[in-house]
Amino acid sequence: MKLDIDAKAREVSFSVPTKVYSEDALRIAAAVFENRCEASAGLAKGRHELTLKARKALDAKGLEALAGEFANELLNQEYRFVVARFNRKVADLIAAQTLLAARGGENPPAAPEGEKSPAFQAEVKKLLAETADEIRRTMPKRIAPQGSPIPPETSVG
Amino acid sequence: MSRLTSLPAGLKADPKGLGPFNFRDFGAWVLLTNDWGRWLMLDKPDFERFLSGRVPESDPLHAELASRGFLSGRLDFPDLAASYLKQTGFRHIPGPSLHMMVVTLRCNQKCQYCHSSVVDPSRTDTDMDLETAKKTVDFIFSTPNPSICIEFQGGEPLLNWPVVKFVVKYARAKAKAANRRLILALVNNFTLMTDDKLAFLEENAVSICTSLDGPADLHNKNRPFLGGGEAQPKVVSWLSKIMDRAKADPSKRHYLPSALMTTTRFSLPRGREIVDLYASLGMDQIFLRPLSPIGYAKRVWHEIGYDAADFVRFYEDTLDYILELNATGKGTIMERNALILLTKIVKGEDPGFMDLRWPAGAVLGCLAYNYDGRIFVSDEGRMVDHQGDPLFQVGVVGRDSWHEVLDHPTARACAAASNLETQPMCGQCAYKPWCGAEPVFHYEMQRSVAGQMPTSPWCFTHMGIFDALMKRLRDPQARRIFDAWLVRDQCKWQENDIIPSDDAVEAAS
Repeated sequence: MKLDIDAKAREVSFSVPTKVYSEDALRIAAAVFENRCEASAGLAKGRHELTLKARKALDAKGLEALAGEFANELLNQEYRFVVARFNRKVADLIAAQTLLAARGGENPPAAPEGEKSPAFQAEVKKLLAETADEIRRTMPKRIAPQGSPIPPETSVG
Repeated sequence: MSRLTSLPAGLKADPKGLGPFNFRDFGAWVLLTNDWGRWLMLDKPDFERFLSGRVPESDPLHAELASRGFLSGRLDFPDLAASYLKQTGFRHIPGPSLHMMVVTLRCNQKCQYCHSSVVDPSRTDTDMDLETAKKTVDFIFSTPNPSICIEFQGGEPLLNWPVVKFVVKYARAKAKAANRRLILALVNNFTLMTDDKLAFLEENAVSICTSLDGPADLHNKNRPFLGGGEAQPKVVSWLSKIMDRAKADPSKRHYLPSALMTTTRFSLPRGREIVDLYASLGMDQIFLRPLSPIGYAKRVWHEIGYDAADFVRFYEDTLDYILELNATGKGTIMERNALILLTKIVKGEDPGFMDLRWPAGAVLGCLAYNYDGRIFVSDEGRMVDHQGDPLFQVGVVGRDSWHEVLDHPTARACAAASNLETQPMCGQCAYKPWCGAEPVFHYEMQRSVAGQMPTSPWCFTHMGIFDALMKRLRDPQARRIFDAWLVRDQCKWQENDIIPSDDAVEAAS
């Protein structure tokens, strides 16, 4: 891979063939490297012309390493597309099965009858009151994130 | 040993007649696996005969290959499908089973590697309040899994004890009303444990887990108290006390305490001492866990971290020591990574371990609830948020429904990114039937939920552990020990009947 390095501008440029690398792979690789460099791309003679501008100062060796790692990620993303296309049927089946099973049906279950009983409601009310009392008695005063004290919760919806 | 797979140079393969398989080359022998979870170790010449279609029907190897689904003309689909379903049952389960509640971020320790992103004990604003606790339990019971495990985490959960007690009692009441199975677990550092708290936990069948990194100097270096002092003696003392109580009363076996060790750079030369300590305390398992570069550990990685290769060496050496103790009758302690993987490999079952499944356990198998009611794909996802990146938040209790959480773009992205059929390297890896990818780990390490497997420390570590086990499975003595472990295994304790029913808990209390 031929690299053009401009250490003063913190930039390294290189090109990759459009026949091998898709724009989607470029976009994802650029996103993965977002915290390390700003990537820009142009098209010329069947190649993506890429320029990476490092976010922090790098010498020529650092820029060369950056370009190499970016190219690895580009390859990783493109190859991910290839593998995903190759295994699409089984991959989609597994993902759909798992997500569908996880839903547990389309209608959320209603609260069980037992929870509607007066005995259950009374038990919960008592539990909340006891806990609120225990918090008041035993816990240090709650503070707001800024550090000022706030009263403990006493009511629960 | 290369982590990449390629056919031996010059080998003439004849794909006609071969069933679908992946393989791993160990030099003199080759591991064959398939998506049904069946596997076979072949000496190199047999592997080459298999690949080139030169195993005649009269050869015993032919029947061996056929019975494990490696010959396309001899596939016993009902048998193979049963095997597949047995080990991937989690793909057919409704909703998450593991719910991690962070009842406070406060902690009285300042661990070197803290994954949990804790705060000072004075920061009571990071305690979960009663209203949020109730909403969280209500949300948990709105998810569809018939079996629910609530795990209290922190910070140090005992610092918000009234809310822990409330959740235990409220969840028990809801489980009884809804006829749902409920398991409760508390992860704590034991420094704030009291007899009263222990009695409550015992009466309510809350299992207890703690951290024990090894001998006092190592543990105290990894896990110092805020303001100085030694934490390890307290951990050892409480562990011993609870072990003694549990052993004296068989009905309390369900809360035999467990301990987790985290491997830092300082642990690497001390595997034997760590194992000896666990064995002396009567612990039946040790979990040799690698350090994750998440939370505070990421910031101090240069001081306490190490290469994946260092961990794999530590793992192999320490596992060999554990096997030696077992072989010589000096101990019976088991290693947890080995148990998890051997449950998959040898028993062909799913041990319910969230980190090694695909699609990943994030949302599909587990959820984490922050003290403020925000819902995350996992506890690691919550820690990423604590560092200022809310990517892994998928909802808020009291606002979002289970379906809204599941339909959240981040939940979908985690499921898609961890699908090994779409991952370079994983798709053709021999360990695909038993492995998994972790989106949060890869996001933290490689800035992508999909990760980059050829350079992933996750892949390197797990492939190293798989390799270590496969090599030892060929050794008859190690195999006998592993088989005995699987008989004793409590990996599936949560799914067995050693957990008391709600009625039994009620009667006891």
